[in-house]
Amino acid sequence: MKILVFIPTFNDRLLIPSLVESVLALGDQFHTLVIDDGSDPAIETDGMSGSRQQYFRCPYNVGLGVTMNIALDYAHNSQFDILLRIDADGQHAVESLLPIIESMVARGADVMVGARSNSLSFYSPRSIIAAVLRRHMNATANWVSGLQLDEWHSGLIVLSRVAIERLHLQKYERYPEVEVLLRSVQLHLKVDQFSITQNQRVHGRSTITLSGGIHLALRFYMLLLRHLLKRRA
Amino acid sequence: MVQLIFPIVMGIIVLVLFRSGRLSLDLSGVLIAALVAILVVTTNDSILNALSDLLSIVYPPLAIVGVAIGLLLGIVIVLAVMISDARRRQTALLRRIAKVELNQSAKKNKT
Repeated sequence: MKILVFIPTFNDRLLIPSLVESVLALGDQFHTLVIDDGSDPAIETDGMSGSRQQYFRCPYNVGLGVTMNIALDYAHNSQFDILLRIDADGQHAVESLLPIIESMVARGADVMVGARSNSLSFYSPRSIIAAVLRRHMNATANWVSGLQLDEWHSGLIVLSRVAIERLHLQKYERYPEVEVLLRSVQLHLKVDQFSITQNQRVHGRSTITLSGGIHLALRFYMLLLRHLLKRRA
Repeated sequence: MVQLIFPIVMGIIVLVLFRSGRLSLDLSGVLIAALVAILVVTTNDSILNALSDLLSIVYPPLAIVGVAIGLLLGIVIVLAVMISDARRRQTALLRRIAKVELNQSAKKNKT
């Protein structure tokens, strides 16, 4: 079984080499694809060459959706059996990758979401607002899609060969986490979830500001609206 | 009732373009938000009067304002479709470049 671990990054550079190393240490079936989404300065690629490592740099910041498209194209062309996306900030424990893949195979799912069991925090007014909004978004998305997921914003997504084949034909914009799940529903792929524990961010900080959060919410609801419009048609 | 026609028609146009993929997610989101704001303002007299007072408009010339905003939004929608199309082509080009570069790199790694 050939497994491709896709790590998109935008200015998250410190953990990339160790992350790639830990993923490759999981076994010979693991390959990595790091896509630098126009970081400034560019991510150092020293030591990131080998038969199981790939790196591509976008000339400017094109957004996560396009990087997802590039990863899906590569996974499809190179005939990978599994495509697994993780974040570059180290919040997804590498040890949880094998269990999530095994669980996906055992359950016969095409798409598996790593649902963070500890993603909702209530330590500040801002985090409370974010948690309430996130819960509302999850509930609305479940209602619109008919799925029952605890997490719609997870950066840990696993796709089977069937899902890669169907999803690589689609175009993704700036919110691929949600777009992939909604497209999977439209394409009648089996979507399931696996509970994971999110690591605390060690380096850098979240790039989501207040205005960025509002923008994300707007994108999220627009995607749900498009899904509803397509379903009705 | 007449004032509802403009934002509703514009909204339908934006949604049809968005659904067909001709209008990008970001641009259609902003347009829908603007149309909802116009819909709220035009259907609520107290908000409209407060806005008129704020802008020192004694006789709100609704028809002219409506036509002007309509024309402007029409132009914005056409431009938004053009921007979305340009972005789609740019993305397709980048995907092509990535495919070629990654294939070359994979071949180089094998040899």
